[in-house]
Amino acid sequence: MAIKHIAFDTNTWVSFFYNAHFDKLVALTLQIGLKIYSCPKQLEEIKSVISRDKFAGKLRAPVQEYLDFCSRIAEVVEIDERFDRLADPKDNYLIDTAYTVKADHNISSDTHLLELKHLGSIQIISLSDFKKKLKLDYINKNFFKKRFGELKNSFYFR
Amino acid sequence: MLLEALEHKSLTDEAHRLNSSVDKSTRISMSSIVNEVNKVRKHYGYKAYSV
Repeated sequence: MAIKHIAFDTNTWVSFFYNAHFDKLVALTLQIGLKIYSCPKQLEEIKSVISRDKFAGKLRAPVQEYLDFCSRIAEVVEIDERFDRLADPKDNYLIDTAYTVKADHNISSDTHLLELKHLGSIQIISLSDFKKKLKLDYINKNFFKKRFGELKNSFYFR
Repeated sequence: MLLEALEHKSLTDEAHRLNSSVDKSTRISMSSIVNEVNKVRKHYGYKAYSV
């Protein structure tokens, strides 16, 4: 299944932040044309994580600026909290988000989620598999071949 | 079209600005990030957020 509509786990968002890959988030949406979704609960969660003392000083701009960036990159939707099948109930809202927007992929690094592989039509994949799959999608569509020279050094796949 | 191009540029500029706001002297592993997210979820609980 081609990647079109995605929901990130919070750990994926934070990984993009800590690795200074804000430009890659822009490339995913504006150049590749993916739709990324989030929800208010996740924004709160991101805020809590990046405000923690453990990684204090890693992000030097005010926390709100990172959240504002998320809101510009992602479509933030209200979710129906009804899913209750995950072993850890605190993860359920991630699936609720994916269901609400009919996402085809959820990108996570949490092994509990990755072990599931999929829930209905939602594929649960790691960030590295996401990158590989995205590349394949582009090769399959010929789009990537056509624009390879232009894109290979400048966007998500470098 | 023009508005879209402006938004594109504005978002790209913002991304570069935020990239330079990150302290790259220390690398944080993915497993540390997953642990921190799980700690936050455990602390606040599933229903604690106001949606």
